[in-house]
Amino acid sequence: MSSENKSLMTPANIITGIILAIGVVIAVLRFTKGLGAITNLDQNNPWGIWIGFDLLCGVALAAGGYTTSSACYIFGLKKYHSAVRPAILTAFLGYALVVFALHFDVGRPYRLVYPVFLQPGTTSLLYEVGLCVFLYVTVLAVEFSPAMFEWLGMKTVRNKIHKLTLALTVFGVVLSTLHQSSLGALYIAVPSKVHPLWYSPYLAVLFFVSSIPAGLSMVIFEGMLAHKPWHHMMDKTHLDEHDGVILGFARGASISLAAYFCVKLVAMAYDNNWAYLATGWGAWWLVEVLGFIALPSLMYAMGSREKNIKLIKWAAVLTVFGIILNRFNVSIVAFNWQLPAGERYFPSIMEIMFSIFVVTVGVTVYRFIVSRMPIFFEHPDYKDAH
Amino acid sequence: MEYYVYHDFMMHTKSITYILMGLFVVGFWGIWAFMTSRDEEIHKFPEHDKE
Repeated sequence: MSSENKSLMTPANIITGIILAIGVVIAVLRFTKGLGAITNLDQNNPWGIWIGFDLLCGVALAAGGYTTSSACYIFGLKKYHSAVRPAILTAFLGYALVVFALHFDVGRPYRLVYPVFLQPGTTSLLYEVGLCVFLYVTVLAVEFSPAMFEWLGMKTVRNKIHKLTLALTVFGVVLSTLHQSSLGALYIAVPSKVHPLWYSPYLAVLFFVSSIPAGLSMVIFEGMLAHKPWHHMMDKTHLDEHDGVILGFARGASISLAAYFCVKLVAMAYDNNWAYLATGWGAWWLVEVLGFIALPSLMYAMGSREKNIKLIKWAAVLTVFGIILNRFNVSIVAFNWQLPAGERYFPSIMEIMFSIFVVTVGVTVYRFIVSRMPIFFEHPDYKDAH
Repeated sequence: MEYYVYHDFMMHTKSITYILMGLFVVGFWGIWAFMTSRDEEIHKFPEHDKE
């Protein structure tokens, strides 16, 4: 065995290989035996964790792409430039995996193109989500492509695409605003199924507002995870700007989390749902709102004030988990809450394994890209070309 | 609290919402003041400070 082959046989690679192999088996089962054979979905619960986690959480946590690029290119905060490429990459992979996972979740995946090209249902929120995600994946692919072309040495194409940066950023913000909110609006259609504490006519606003701290926190969280293994790939500019990016994003996340907290309370007041707070569901709602929205907002504020990077990183972890918790609550936990326990949905082991497989595919592609392309460093041929 | 007509309900919930909005404005000012209280002062007109 050569030394190159030996280096590939790391524990992380072996675990990744096992997960990918299991994922392939589940994928084969899904397309040969159908959704019923491997999922616990039924007529009451047609959307399980492949929507609740892979799609809703995937889209919310990929919001770092539009928040970071708009901060840098629209608001002119160039001090965050080193965070743009990692954020765009995470967003691109996040959305690409949403589309990938959707192919397994919908009954007839070959019809995914229908709403866009054949039968646009212009009054449907799902049509709007589908169209926006289709367009935004394309935008993110183009936004990400300069890094790939720099790596491949294709200067002319890279320079032409680079000139589109501002237009792509604006387009990306518009599309994100539309579909982040529309994902929440999907649940406005089922007022009798979602628990009143999570249901609100403001669901669209709640989903959009929460995507901003989700994106900012994900950039901090991802930077935290990437800092050690890819430290050698980071150039001086990236390392010098690292703390500034975290402190700046912490401020944005603190304020946007505070805004999210306020909209949550307004939604509660508007529907006069205060009485539900005295129930078990109310306790769970308070855990989400106080523990995963108000607390990280204060932690961010304190961390930003004290320049305490460690506290900010913990706040980012709490926020990311808080957003996942919220999407799970809306789409699974508080969905069909009035049904008897026996009829409630709990994902099958194969559904959970498939979601782990999707995340693992993302991490594997991410590792492949950041180990080769100029994500954490500026390509020597394009220094200061921004 | 009993609501006899929809207007009663709207009056009640809207009133609470407006009170909350006032509290949020104060809260936002508070969180911003807290967060920036240790920032270095930005001297926009340094020549004016010297005088």
